[in-house]
Amino acid sequence: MNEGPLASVRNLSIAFRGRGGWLTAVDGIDLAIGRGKVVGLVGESGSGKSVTMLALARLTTGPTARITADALEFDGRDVLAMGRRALRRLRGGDIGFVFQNPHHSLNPLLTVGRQLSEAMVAHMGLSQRAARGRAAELLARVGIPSPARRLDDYPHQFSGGMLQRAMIAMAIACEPRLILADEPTTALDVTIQAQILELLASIVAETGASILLVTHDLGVAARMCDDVHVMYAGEIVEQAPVDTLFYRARMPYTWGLLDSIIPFDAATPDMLPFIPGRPPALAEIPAHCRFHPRCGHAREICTAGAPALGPRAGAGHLARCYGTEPDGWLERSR
Amino acid sequence: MTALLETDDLEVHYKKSGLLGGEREVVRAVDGVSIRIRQGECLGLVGESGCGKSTLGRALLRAAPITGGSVRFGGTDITRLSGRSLRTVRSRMQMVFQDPYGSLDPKMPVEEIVGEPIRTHQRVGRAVRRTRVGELLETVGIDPARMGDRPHQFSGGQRQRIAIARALAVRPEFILCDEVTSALDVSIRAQILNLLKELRQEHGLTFLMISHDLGSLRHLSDDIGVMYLGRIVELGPARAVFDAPAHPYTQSLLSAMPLPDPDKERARNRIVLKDDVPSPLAIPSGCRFHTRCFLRDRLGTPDRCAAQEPALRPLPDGRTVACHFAEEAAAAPSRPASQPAPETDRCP
Repeated sequence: MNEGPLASVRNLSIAFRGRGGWLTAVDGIDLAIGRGKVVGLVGESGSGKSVTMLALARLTTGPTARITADALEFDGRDVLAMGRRALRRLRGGDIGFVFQNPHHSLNPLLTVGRQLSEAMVAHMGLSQRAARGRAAELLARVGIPSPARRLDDYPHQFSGGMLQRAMIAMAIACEPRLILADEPTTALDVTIQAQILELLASIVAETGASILLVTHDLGVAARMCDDVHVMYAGEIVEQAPVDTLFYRARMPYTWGLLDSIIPFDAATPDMLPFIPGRPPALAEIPAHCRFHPRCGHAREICTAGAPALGPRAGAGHLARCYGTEPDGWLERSR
Repeated sequence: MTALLETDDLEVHYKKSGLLGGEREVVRAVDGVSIRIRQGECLGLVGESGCGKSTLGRALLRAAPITGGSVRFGGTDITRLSGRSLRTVRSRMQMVFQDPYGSLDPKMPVEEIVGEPIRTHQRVGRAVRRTRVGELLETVGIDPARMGDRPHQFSGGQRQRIAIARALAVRPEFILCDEVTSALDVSIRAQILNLLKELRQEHGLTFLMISHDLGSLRHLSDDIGVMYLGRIVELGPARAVFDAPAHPYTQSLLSAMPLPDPDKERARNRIVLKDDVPSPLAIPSGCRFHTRCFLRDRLGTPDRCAAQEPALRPLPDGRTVACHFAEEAAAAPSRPASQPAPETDRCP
């Protein structure tokens, strides 16, 4: 058994072709997902978190996208060298997917049962009959009442929460080792979100699968993740085990994100703290430290060079900021 | 202080025709709601999708058909106003929606978008209107030099500012904000909330804020109303409702909200409600929440919950709650004993 991370990528870059040439959306990312771990990728819209997730399964392709990486591995296998068939076995077999909007991700013209069994027939070589039986078991596993009857329903006959459960059933149908989940609860009400997060956590506990969880909601990350990576303008700006990130962050953007959360369980100041400005568009990504135009702590050095993602105190903690480097000028504790 | 806006037993029922125009079903979207918003105050409304909070908001502005009860605005019953008198009232009330992409005409320059309500409701010349649009953009933090630009040239947060400027154009007394920060990134959300708070303080505006983001609601609201299946189940000062929720539904809602704090998350007694919200076509008998209520399970499923609809009644601290067993709920707002402790030991 391979003891390295389940999935990893080194120096991943993703560019999209725009009117004025190629625009870099993700710039030199290293990411490793441990076995049985829930790894969070957090950031605002446009930070590159979703395309990074898709690139792990080499799903960001086509003439308008360009992925490059020094290495992309899944369970010790070289994903970059895989041919079409091997990739198809990887996606849907070893890797399951859960997306934000189940209404858009399921085919409205096919029954839920048909869509569930399809993958099992293709990837596990089950007969239609056996696949149907297992499909019912899966619906039961994700908490859908009278599963055998619901197999013949079409997606529009399910509520949003039920449909997300069905999508999770589909994601786990072929016993994946990794689940890629892109904002899996963003479109749902909080009470349903709590149900879905509990379901995902129980799947990890039961099957030992890993999850890469893309979310903009730091509360969801705090509840679910072992490790969290923060992305800004196409780069990872900080990564750490969950407690370290929430209590000992060492990057002003992370501080800004944590401070912008408005607590409901405590009084708030009259005017809320916020990060000035807005995330840059792809064509306008600043040189040097990409966050410096919005950073209240920036000094001259921040506009002179690009800080590296370097180690900070504590295991597995990396941050990209001159100010919190060992000889830096920033201190903060929460 | 007097109420600027007040409803009494307000109802919005929709008739939904069955297949082939057969049997008609009734969707009870808003089903007997009485609220008061005092001059200069903000009422926050929270509830799951389909609970009727947006329909209630629209009914206040007479933008949803009222089938029962009444709405009073500034002391006048506006439930059945029409024509010119309705238009006059409407110019005193404005709304801002969730999606600044969908609610601004992509083909119009900002000057026209913001100036349109002025043209509709006031007779002023173009030059005056233009000056006023410039002032409004300034107020919401948009450079007036950009009034010739179109919506797609602005970011999401800026578009929401433009939508707010448009709502302010006719100097309304009341603004309905329906999920105004939901589509915005976290770093932008606080900027918009600060703007709303400033506007409220400077112009004495009265607000109804509809949101599922409890933090935003607590920050801006004086009072909070919690809705479930067309009814208010708890109503009271924001602090009381959020710090010590008295209705089991409010308790579940608060406990489902993720906290951006791993220690608190691990220590939490989370109530995870079973099932989905029932359909507003088939509202459960008695207490509407009884089919999902953890408190009822803990009390040994008393018949009363399924038989008798609880009225909204005052508690000693001034809030009102619609639960037969609110005292029991307030005494033990924790996880039902039958529910296992959540996974906590997942960290290395």
